[in-house]
Amino acid sequence: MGGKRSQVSRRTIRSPGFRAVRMAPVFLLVLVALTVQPALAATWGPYNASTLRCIYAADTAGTSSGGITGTLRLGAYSTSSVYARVLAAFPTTGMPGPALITGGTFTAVHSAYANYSSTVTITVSIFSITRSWTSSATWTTYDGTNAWTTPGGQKGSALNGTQTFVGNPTDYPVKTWTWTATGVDYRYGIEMQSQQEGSISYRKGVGNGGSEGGAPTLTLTYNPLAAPGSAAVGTVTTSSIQWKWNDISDEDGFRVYDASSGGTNKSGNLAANTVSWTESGLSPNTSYTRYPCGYSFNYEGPRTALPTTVTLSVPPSTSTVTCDKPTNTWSKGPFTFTAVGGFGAGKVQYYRYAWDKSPTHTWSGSESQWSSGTLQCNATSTGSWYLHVKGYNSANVENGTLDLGPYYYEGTAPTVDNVTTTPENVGSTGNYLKGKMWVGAEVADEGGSGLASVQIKLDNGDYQTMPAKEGGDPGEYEKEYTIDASWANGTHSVTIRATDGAGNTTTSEPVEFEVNKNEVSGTIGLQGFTSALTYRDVVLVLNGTTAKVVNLGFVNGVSAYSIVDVPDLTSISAKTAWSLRKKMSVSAEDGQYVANFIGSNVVRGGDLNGDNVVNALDYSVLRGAWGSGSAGDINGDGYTDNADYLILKANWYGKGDAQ
Amino acid sequence: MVKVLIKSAALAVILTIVLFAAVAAQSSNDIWNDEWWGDRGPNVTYYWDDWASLIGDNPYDVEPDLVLPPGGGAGLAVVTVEDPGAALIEGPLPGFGSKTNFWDLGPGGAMHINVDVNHNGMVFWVQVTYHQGIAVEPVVDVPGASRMLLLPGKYELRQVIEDTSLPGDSEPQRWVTYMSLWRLDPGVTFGGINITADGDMGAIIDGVIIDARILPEPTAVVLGVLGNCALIGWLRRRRH
Repeated sequence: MGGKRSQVSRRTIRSPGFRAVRMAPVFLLVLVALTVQPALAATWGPYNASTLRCIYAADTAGTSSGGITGTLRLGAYSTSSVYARVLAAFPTTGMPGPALITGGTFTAVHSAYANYSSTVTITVSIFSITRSWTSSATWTTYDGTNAWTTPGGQKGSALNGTQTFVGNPTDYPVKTWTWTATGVDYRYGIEMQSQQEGSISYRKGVGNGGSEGGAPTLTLTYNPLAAPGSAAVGTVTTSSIQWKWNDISDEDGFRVYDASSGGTNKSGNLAANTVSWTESGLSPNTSYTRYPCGYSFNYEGPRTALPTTVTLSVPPSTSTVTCDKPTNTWSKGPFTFTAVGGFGAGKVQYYRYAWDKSPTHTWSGSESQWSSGTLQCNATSTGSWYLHVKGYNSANVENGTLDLGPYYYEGTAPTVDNVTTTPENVGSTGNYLKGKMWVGAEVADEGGSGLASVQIKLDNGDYQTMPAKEGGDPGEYEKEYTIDASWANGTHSVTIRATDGAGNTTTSEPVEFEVNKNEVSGTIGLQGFTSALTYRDVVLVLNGTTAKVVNLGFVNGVSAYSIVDVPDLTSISAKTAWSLRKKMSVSAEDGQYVANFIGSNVVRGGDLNGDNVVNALDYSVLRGAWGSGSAGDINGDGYTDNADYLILKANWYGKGDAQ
Repeated sequence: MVKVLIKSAALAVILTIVLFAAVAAQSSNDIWNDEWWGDRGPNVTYYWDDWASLIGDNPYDVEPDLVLPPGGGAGLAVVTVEDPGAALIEGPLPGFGSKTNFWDLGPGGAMHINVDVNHNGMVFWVQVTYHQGIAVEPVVDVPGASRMLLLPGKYELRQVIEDTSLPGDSEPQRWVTYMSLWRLDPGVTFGGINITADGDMGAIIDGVIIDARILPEPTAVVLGVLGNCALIGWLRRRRH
C-alpha cells in the first residue's frame, strides 16, 4: 500500500510578504534564503534573524575570501573559480501532521542584481539539502566547525526542472520549479545552484523579499497518513510481546512508540506494510502499551493505542522458589518457602499452590494463592511432602508449574529413658568419689528418620557426643567421666539430649548425683618398725570425729595411704594398736589433702592398751606378751622383746595427740 | 675419872657399831625390821602398802594401812599422780611380779607424808619400795631434817626385794626397797616427808614405811653415861 495516493493536498510555503502561489491546502513554511557569500550573512534584509539560514560563498579551493556580499547570488563572483549558491531553509513548524509528500513547487524571483553582464544567462537547478545546517555554515562546514560531506553543501538529487536567469531584469520575473517525487526530505531546505559554476564568471541575483523582488517560496503536495488499525496482540512471553496492527496507505513505514505522543520510538523504522513487531527485552509480569503509527518521509501519522499487555511472569523454578529445608532430608518442619525476589512487576504476580504428599498435582485453578511474603507449610503426618506451585502474572495469565519435594517430615521426638549414673567409687552416703563414673541411657527414634545425635551435658556445660555403649544393645548409650581433683564437691547433674534425623529433640530431666572428690593421702611411718613388709591396721581420724581404718603394708616402717570419701578437712590423726596417736593439721583448697606422718610426725609406739598414753599399764602389757605375744610387738617383727621395750621406754609417759 | 670418861666413850662407839651391824643385817621383805630400835625408846611405825584407805581424787589422801603400835600416832600420805601416770594399780600385773596395789606416779608425781612428831626432835627411818627398770627411783626428802649415816659413807641403802626381769632384758627389772635415816632436830618444824618421782621417767612405788622415834633427852644420856661409868667403877673396885 505504500506510496498509494489516498489524498492530495497542496499548500504554498512562502516568505513573509511573499505572494502566495497556491494557498490551500498547502502549508506555509517560513522561507529563509541565503546567498552564498564568503562572509556571514546574518543581517539579511527583512528576514527574521532567528530563522535566517545562510551559507557562505567560497571558492572551489575552499577559501572564504571571495568577498561575496549583498543580496542572494548565484553563479560566479569575479572569476570562474569563485561562485555562490543559495541555501534556503523552510521551517516546518506548523506543518499540519503527517503526510506523504508527493511533489512541490519552488519559486524564486530573479532580482535585479547583476554583476558584469546583463546578457549572460545561467541555468539554475535546485536540490534538497540532506542534513541540518546553521547560519554559521560555510562552503566547507555546515555549522562553522563540522564539514559537509561534500563541500558546498550536502544535497540530494536535483529536483525536477531548471530555470534560466537571463540578463539583469528589472521586472523581477518569477522562476518556478515544479516536480513530483516522493521520498524527498525537505526538512533542511533547498539549495540553488548554477549549472555554469566554474565556467562563467558572472552571478545573478535572487529575490529576497525586499527590493530584490520577493522571497522564494516552496509549495509541497502531500497525502495525509491514517492511524493504523488496532489488532490483537500476538505472542507474549516473559520478555517479549508481539504487537500487531492493521496496515494503512501511503506510508513509508511504521514506527511503534511507547506513548501516545512524544515518547520513544521503540521499534525504529519498520518497513511499509509491516503489521506486526515483536518487542523483546521486556521485563516479566510488566504491563506495556504501545502506539504504532505510519510515517512518510519524516512525517508521522497518528498513533493507535494497542491493547495494554502484560508479559508473562517468570516461571517457577528451583531457583525462584526455595525452601528452608532441603529435599530428600528429614525435617520436623515447618517448611518455609520463599519466592526469591518477591512478587510484583519484573517477577511473578502470585502463585497458586498445593501442599500434599503427592509427587504430582492436577491443577484446578482454585488452589490457594501466594502473593506475598513467605509460605509456611505444615506437614501433618510423617512421610514425604511436596509443594506444587503455578505462576501467574498480573493479568492472571499462568506461566509454568513446579513440583518441589519430597520433603521428609517427622514430628515425633525420640525417647530418652533410664538415665543412670554409676560411680566406680561410692562413698558412705552414696556420694561419688574420685574415679570413673559412667552415665547410661536408652535412646530410641520413634519416627523413622533415625537418630542423628545423642549428646550429654554435665551440669551447665556444653553438650558432648554420647557414644553408643560398647557391647551394649542397640539404643544403649554410655558416657564415661573421671571424677578428679578438678571437680567441685556437691551436687552435679547430667542431661541427655537426643535428636532424630528430622531435628526433633528430646532432653531428659537432669539426673543429679553428689560428688565428694576429697582425698587425703600421704605416708605413714611407724617408729622403729621392722623393715620387712608388715601389715598393720591404722586408724585415721578425720577432723577428730570420723574414723577410717585402713590396713597398710609397711616397708621399712613406711606405707603410703589414700582415703577418699572424706569431708573437708582441718586435721587428721593416725594410730595403731601399738602406738600413740599422731595428729596433723591439713588444708587444701581443692580438697586434695596431704599428710605425711614421717620425721617429726612419725607415729610413736608404746601405747599397748589403747589409752593413748604410755605408762605402767602399757609396760605390763608388753611384759605380759614377752617372748611370743603380738600385743607388745611394737616394731612388728613378730614377737615382743627388748626391742619393743626400748621403743616403749623411749616414749615412756608419752601422750598421744587427741583425735 | 678421866679413865672412866674414856671408857664410856669407847662404849658408845661400840654401841654405834653394834647398831650399824644390825642395820646391815636387816633382810626383811617389805618392812625393814625395827628390832634394831631395841630399847632405844618407843617408836611408831606407819605402813602404806595396800593403800586401802584412799580418799578423794588426784591428789589422793591415804591413811596408813597399819600403825604400830596401835594408836601410836597418826599419819597421812597425800599422793599426787602426774599425767600420764597410771595412778594406783591394783595388780598383780605382768611385769610387776607379785606386787599389788602400787602407784604409777607419772613424771614428777609425788607423795607427801605427814606423821605425828615431837618438838624434842625426831628420827625417821624411811623405806620406799619402787620398781626399777622402765621407771626410776624416786627422790626422798625430809625438809628441815638431816640425813644420818647408815653405813660408813652411806646415807642410803637399797635392797632388791623381787626380781621381775625376763630373758633378753637389756636392763634390770625389779622391785627395790630404798632406805634412809633422817634426824629432825628439836625445835625444827617438821615439813613432812616428800617422795618425788623423776620428772621424765617417773616412779612406780609399791609401799612406804616410816619409822618415827622421838629423840632422847640430852641430860638422860649424860646421866646414863655417868651411871654406866659409876657402875663400871664400882664393879672394878669390888674386884680389887
